[in-house]
Amino acid sequence: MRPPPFNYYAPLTLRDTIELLHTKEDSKVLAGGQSLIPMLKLRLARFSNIIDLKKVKELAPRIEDKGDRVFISALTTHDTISKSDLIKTKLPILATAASQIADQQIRNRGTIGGNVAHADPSANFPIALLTLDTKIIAEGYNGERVIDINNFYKYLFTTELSNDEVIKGFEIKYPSPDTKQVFLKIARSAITWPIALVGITIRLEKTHVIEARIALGAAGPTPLRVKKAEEFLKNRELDEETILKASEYAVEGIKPISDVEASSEYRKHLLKVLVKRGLKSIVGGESYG
Amino acid sequence: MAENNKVRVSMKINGREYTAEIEPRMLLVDFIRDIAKLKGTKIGCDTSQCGACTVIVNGVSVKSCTMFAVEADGAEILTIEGLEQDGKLHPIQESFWENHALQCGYCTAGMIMSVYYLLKTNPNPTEEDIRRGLAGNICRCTGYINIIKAVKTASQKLGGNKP
Amino acid sequence: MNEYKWIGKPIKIKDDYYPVTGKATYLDDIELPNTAYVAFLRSPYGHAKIKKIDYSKALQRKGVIYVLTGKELPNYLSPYPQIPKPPAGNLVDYPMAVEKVRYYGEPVVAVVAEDKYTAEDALEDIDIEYEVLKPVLDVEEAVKNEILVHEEIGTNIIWIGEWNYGDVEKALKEADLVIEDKFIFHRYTAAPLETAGAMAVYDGINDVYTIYSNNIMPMFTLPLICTALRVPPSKVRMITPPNIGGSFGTKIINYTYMTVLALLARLLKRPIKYVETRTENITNGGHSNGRTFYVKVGVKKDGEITGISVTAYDDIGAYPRYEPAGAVVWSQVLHGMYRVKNIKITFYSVLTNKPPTSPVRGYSRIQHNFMWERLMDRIAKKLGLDPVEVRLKNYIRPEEMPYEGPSGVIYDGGNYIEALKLLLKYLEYDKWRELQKEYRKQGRYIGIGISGVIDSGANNFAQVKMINKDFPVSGNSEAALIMVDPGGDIIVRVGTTDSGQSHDTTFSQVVAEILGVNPEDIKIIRGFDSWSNVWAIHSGSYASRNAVMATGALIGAARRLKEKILKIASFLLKEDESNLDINNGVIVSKVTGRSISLRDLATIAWTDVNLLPGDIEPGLVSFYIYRPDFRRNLPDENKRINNTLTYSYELHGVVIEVDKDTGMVKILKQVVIGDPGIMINPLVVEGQEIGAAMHGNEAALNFRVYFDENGAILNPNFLNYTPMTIDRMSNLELYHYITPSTSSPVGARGVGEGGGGPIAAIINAVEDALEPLGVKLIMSNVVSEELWKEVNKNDIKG
Repeated sequence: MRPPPFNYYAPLTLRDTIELLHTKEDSKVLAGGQSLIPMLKLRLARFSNIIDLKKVKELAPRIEDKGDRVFISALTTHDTISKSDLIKTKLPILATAASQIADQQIRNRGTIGGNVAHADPSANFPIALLTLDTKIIAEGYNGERVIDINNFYKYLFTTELSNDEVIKGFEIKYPSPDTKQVFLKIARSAITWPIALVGITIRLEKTHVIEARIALGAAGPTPLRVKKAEEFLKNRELDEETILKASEYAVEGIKPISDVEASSEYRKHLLKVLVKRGLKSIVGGESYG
Repeated sequence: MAENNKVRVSMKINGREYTAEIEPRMLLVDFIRDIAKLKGTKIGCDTSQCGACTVIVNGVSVKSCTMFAVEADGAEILTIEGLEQDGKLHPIQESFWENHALQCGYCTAGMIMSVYYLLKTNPNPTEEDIRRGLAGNICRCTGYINIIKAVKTASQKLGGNKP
Repeated sequence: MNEYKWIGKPIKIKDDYYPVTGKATYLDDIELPNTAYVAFLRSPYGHAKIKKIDYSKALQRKGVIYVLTGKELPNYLSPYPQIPKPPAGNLVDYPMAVEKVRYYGEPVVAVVAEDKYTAEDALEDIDIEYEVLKPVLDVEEAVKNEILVHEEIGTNIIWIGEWNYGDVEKALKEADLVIEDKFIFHRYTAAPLETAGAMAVYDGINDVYTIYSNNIMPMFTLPLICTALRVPPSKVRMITPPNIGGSFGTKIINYTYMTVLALLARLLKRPIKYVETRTENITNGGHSNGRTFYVKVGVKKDGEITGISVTAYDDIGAYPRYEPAGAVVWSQVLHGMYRVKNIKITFYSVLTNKPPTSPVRGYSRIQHNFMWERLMDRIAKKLGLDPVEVRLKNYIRPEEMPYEGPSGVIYDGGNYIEALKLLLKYLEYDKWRELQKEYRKQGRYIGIGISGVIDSGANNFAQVKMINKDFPVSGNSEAALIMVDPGGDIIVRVGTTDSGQSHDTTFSQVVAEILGVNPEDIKIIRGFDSWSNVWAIHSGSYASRNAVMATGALIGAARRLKEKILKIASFLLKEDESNLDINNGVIVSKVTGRSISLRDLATIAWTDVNLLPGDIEPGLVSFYIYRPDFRRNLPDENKRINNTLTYSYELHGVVIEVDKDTGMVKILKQVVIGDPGIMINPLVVEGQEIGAAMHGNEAALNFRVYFDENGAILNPNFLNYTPMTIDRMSNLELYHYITPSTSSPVGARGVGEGGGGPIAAIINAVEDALEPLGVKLIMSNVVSEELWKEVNKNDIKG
């Protein structure tokens, strides 16, 4: 119910933050806290040092239109992203994913940086971002680097970031105007973790697929891009048969967890259903989500 | 092993300043209840789901059990106790009362604060907006039907204005 | 009904003022100086021997005051008394585990610390060595007695009861068809938003314990605590705060925490407080009994039931904390809404290595109602009849009311046939049956389900004499005291506790009706204090009793007071009593118009006492303890007894769709028809009916407690045991069909438990939806994955 003790730091600059991460052992950054604090309260995780990022000026919330791409700083909240006209117009999959995270109170505090860095495979943002041209701008003791989202997730709750690195923000290229974007999830209620979630971005010429990206959540230890399905869809007509086949390829070989909520087999099936529904909605079939 | 250091935290709750030396791990809800002695805000779960602890921090609804008090240093907080002005109930409070939108009342403080935020950002919500806006507040007694009515009443009372 | 001025009116609920302003006071809001806090270290196993406990590190932690292990409890406490006679009566029950843990979450060690954070930290300092034993988790395994939960009694079967009426064997022989079936009611819990909590204080000078708690029947659990502490009731003061954040029955078995805290308060000489975490509440706050039914029913081709034989196994968990009372409570609704005369039921109350059950909304009747309502649908399907037809065939007829059933129950009115017709109308039953055919052609699975449930209220405790004829409890009682104080204000004290039933307003309406005043002018003293309140031993809020019990007490006290008022007024005004009436706080003569205000009369009665007639005591206060006459008050040797006073009933209908791709169930339409008798305040009654329906929806669709093979609970918090949120609650419609109760004062029936109404309706609907696939559902809860498997069993590859 209540977290174990920790030392608390609230640095004002990124430099100070990195210095703390580099020198203090067993430390963790705190962004919105909507993923970290529940874990600390149940004592599923503990850290000697918590470093609050919210006063770090370089990370302050902002969404910046950079012409062909957008920059979203790490501390931008889910609520802001879900309501941003820019995001809703240019990157609707991101706005949808943000708007479907938990409930209003959590969206008011939770941040895109936290959601991505926490690396929970059933989180919304990683799925949406994987379907886009997303670059993660990080900075650590050895300086700044840019990480492609496709190289970001290593295994359960573990990312490419080293202990002294912090996500500064995300650079997401606007997809071409003929790109359709869908985000779907299945959860028992707003406040429970999704059992299955799917993100799809697809460039179409009428019903002809030019390029497709499909990301699955709660499908394994990390968020997944399903290349086989994407390859299959390329240059095909998005008809019923193709959709069915693509959905089968999408879940081939995946091993979602089995827990009290759902078995691995059921999760796999639900993911297939979501891919199918997502693709159908793109060609104007039944609408879900 | 962490040293049990203390931090000095100051915040304004319902317009009044509260300062204390506390452990950084102290949850905001415990600060509100045990330091500021404002018992209206409740704890109902341990997984950040029930919303009984909802308060307004710097204008935005927040689950105070999922925030450290130290994160609210310098903040302005509004709790259920702050809605009544000079003995006059806030229209949202009136609406809950008129519509019997509560039974045991334990969820009510958090629910009303969530409604406050909902109407602030969406003064004329549809039923769907209401269901979505209050999804983070669990009620075990009413079945929600009267709560939905109360939000509609409150919106009317406020004349479509912000609360 | 029309002649009432206040009863029946949906007046604004004054109770609501406190929570909407944040001024309500719940247990954890009460603070005392120098309080220490308790955290419990609990068993991670369903069954294990405790080999060693090392808490030395905990004692070294700064802020830790004391550590108490269950092992030490026999030095201080006596075990709790048991209802049955030996051997079951020899079961040893302490509030913490002594040498063995028998259920997941059983408290083993209590840590006391200066603050709640440190208490929780200290739990991690404690090492316990267990020898894990195989648990017995399935009730049908438990009756084999291969693994014993309590070796000291040599069996897991706490009690077996047999009810046998008419001639069941003959009835089955005369049937056109005998149908056999099995139903399972699952374990779940009600999870009120406020968890259980308590605070104890010990006064060493007077040797008195004060226990603050949110227990909903404090005087009834008091004897249990006193036996354990080895003190008489006069040494224990029970206080309940003015507000309890819901209970739904569960805040009865928290007497175990109250006992431990009282002991610690005495040992440590400071106030001791404990508040359950949500996880502790879901695991150990009190589950609803799991029950397995084997049913054999004889039917005629037209659907008429000739006779029924049932064997039921009730899983009560590892300690009978309120049990085996549940083994007889269901007999209040023995034959449900049906006029079946030939009934044989054998009931086993059985221990398992699961957390102790407690009464949970609909206690013991919910399971039985479920069995009947599933059975009616099964009978219909087997005979090729509509489920509506089968029900209509077997319903107790309105002209048979009040209906005296074979087991001695006296149903207090009702018209099930008309209520069902009303349900069908609002549910648009015929339209949905047509649509169902259409949708089936499109490959969509829509189902319609109906259930009718008896929601019995105001219980007769004599029912436990069926278990132990010498157990000294029977009937029911409630106390009220009404005073017109020297200022002319009307003050009411009553022994109930309020966990969301709006007692303040409801009771004010009753008193106002009799005393001829405005409910606004009545002050109900909020909160319960056994030293300054009034109470009867049965006092509390449980078993949907207070529309009857509190009302009875209040009416009794109000009438006595009115009598005295009129007597004094008649003397002072020199009027015949029969000319006088009280209106708006003034006693007026209908004949001469002479009057005196209640206020002035009170002044004379209290202060200017020599103006009173010689034979009248000063003061304006009356005290009354109400005892209902159940007419069959005690059980005979055949278990015949009227064991509840009122029999409210509800008809439930749902239309659902099962998504064949995901197995998820969506409620498309939901209607409830309720007959609560006369509603004292319709707002209150409707709120309870809707809330109870939501609980039924949850029980069927959300709530199931899952155990692993060691007896550990897999979904112990809201993450995986998730209540209904507003975004998922159906838009249920509630209508009433009112018939007054023939058994209670003012004709009200106890309501609020809902009898689990929607549960069978939903399961019936799901089975109805999947009928083309031949799916048969055994349990009272459906899970989308299981439904998906059923729907696709032919397609799923291993």
